Amino acid sequence: MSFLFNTAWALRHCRKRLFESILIVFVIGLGVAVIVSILTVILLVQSQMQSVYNYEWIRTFRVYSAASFSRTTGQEPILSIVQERPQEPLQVSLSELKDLERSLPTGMYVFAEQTMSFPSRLLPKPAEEADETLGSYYETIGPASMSSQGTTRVITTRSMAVSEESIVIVEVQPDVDGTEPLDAEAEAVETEQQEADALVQLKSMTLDQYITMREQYEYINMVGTTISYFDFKQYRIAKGNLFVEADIANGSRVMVLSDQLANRIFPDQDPIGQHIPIEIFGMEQDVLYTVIGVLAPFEENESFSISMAFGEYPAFVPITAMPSSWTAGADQETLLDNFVIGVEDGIDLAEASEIIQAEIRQRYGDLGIVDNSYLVLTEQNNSSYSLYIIIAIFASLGLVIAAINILNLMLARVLRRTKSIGLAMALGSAKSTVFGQFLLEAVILGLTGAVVGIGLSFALVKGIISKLILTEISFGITSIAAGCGLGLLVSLLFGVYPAYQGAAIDPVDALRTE
Amino acid sequence: MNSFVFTMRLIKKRPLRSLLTILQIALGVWIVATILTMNLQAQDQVNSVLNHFGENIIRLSLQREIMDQGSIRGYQGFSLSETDLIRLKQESTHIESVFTVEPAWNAKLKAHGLTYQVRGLAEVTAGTISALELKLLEGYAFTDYDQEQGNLVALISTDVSKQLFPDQSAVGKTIELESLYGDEYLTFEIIGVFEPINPLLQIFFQEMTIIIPLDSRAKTTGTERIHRANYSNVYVKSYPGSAHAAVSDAQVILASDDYNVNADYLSDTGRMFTSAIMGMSLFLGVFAFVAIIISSVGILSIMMVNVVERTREIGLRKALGASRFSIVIQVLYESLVFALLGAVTGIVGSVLSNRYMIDGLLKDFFFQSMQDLGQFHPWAAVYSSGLALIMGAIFGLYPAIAAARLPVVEALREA
Repeated sequence: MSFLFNTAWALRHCRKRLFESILIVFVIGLGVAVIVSILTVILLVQSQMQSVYNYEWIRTFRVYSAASFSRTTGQEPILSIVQERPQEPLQVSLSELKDLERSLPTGMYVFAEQTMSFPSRLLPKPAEEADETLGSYYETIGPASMSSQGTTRVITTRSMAVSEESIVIVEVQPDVDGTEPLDAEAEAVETEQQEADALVQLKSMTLDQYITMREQYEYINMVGTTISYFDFKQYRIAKGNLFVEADIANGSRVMVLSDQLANRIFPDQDPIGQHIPIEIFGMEQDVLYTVIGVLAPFEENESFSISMAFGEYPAFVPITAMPSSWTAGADQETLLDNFVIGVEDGIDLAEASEIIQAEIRQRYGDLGIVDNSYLVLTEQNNSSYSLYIIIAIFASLGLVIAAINILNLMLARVLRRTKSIGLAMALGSAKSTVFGQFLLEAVILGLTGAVVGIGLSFALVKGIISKLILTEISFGITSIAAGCGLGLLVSLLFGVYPAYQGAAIDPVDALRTE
Repeated sequence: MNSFVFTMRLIKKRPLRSLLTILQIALGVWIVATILTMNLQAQDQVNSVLNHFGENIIRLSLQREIMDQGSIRGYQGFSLSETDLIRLKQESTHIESVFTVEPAWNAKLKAHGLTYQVRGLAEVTAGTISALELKLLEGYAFTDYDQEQGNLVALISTDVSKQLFPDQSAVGKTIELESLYGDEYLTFEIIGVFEPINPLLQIFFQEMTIIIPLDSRAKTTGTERIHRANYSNVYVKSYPGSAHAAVSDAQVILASDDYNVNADYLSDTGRMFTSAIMGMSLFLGVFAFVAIIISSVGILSIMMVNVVERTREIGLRKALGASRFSIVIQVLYESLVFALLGAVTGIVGSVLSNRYMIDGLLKDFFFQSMQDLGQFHPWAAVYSSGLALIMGAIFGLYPAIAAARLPVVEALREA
């Protein structure tokens, strides 16, 4: 009852100085609004970063041969140290992969994964699409020359449209002695490793033939792998079978199609038992793969990361049936210079990373490098903290100013009511009552300000920011709680001193002075 | 002067209140001054380059559009030759000098038994050094003769010098650079140390931390040195004010049906940079705007309190014949003094904190390559204190008018 009475009393006082109270509420509102809006946006960014950790690719650790990659360490602005590479390449046989998988904790899968893309005559581009989907590639074209009005010039760059809007230009170092025309030859300097593999085979094809091929046909993205791959990815088979250990041991040219590839090539037929010709540059004849299975359609959330990794039309073959393995001969002792360790959902990545690094170090010493996006992302996350600090300083400044304002105005109110407080005390009011009343007044102002601020920030986030960044931003309970909490905290913190001043008034002095 | 002393006395009467009010304004001014300092320093650095080189530096390249069914499908670039360089210089009256800067991406360097990856190794003609007015702190620059002879000499920036040869002079020392073919390391003698190049120039050309004569890395043991006959770009420095004439000359000299002569101006890159600085300042400016609004409202509310508290005094002054105008001026004066004191405090605070705020925190995200952005900038101080005074005047006006409107009789009766 007395709380209600006190509230009514405080409200009456707030109303008495209505303009002043409105100003306090307004400044607290603005201060809270900025913080809550920024907080909401930061929470959104954080949650998107967290969701990245659920992706499958972040749960994979690729082990590379240290001999074929130079690593740099140190973040010096000018130079970074290149670590000496071991001379000997990493060589791991398929049976060693199984052995490694057995010695790792359950939930970790060890498999080979190599991808190569081939334009396939089975996948002609629809005529009307050819313009827009030129394919997202850029390339560096090596020494080739043309004569123009008596001067020989070297083609230094060549770029093709990625889409109609964006154009990527990659420069190539001109040939040292460019006066001698060379055969048109594609040289992959900047392209991805997998493309580089494919391009190595390009020698016998002229540049124009190659470009025509790329423009007219879409790609089959061949993924060469082992059995554990499917265990880790949890791909389900819809028709036929997956390949088995014997296929890997023998290098059988069998293929498991993704759902979208099967639908594209065999819309009306049963794909099982059909042959897929793969054109490999430099080979006289097409190589035939027999379809033995079709995967179930990828789930919506998977298909994005899969198309990022393998393009639109992935197909899976035994690692020993990949073109790169042909010369080596295929059996359990086929050697790989890289492989992948997949970590099941639910296992802590930081821990897994340590176990894997230790195991690789123990088995292969310096020959293998473990690469994982999780580690890179975590590092990036950590480095963005100082950005958060700046934003936090800048965003909270408004509220700090508003808090000073509350302090100032509450002090003025106490001063102004010295006489009435003295009177109340002389009539028997306890110090605690006076203290409580002033504090309550500050809290009411602070909370009202917080509510206004939350409303403002709701309008700002929903109305402006989400339109600017084109993302739906959910205005969660965290933001609302933070807003109320801030308002309460500020008013309590800065209301205490004036309330104490009020309670400390000596009724005798207060009544005597005019 | 009298009214200033009077106002100061009023302010001193309520020391805590005045202090808090000044603190409020100071915080608002602090953030505005901090952001303005960074913005203006960055702008100055960009402008100093633009004013100096004006619109005189132009990059020329040869390019052909690959057309397909009427739309552009891609581009093909062509090299320029040494002959082109000579012709450009000789045949145009608008071109002061012609030079090239060829990047050497990811070249490796050996020093003290360690292998480094170099960011910013550039092979340049001797003319580049004078065209860019490279400031040498030690040693001397290489010349055309060095380039012709294929002398293995290098200039390094102070950053590289600090990293490779801390606490000693780098001149006379040697570094080993990977040859163009990547098959051996060539020993270069360091003959000079230069001051870091302005970031704007580094964006237009490339990062330049080690500069060596053109083609010097092409030297191979045992065989004749091969000239790099082809350049992907050629840079032209025109005489002041004749950049466009120089470009039209170049277009005539290099004309061909097979490609277009492309020109990129340094000033365009400068403008891009300027708008990036502006965008960044706008983002932070939103926070500053809110802060300055809140502190202005702070002035407004505290002046309202002051007026209410002084109702009787004001009534008395009016009864004694003070004009409404003099009352307005008195109250306004007080709020302006608050604003001024707040501005001074805020600017002092910003000067003290800039080393940490700008050079420590902010710069890392936006202008890593720029130096000394946190240095005191007089215009930042003028603008931010001007803003504080204007806000003080605007938000002090309402309480001043409210005070002047107080009816005399009621004001005197007020207890």
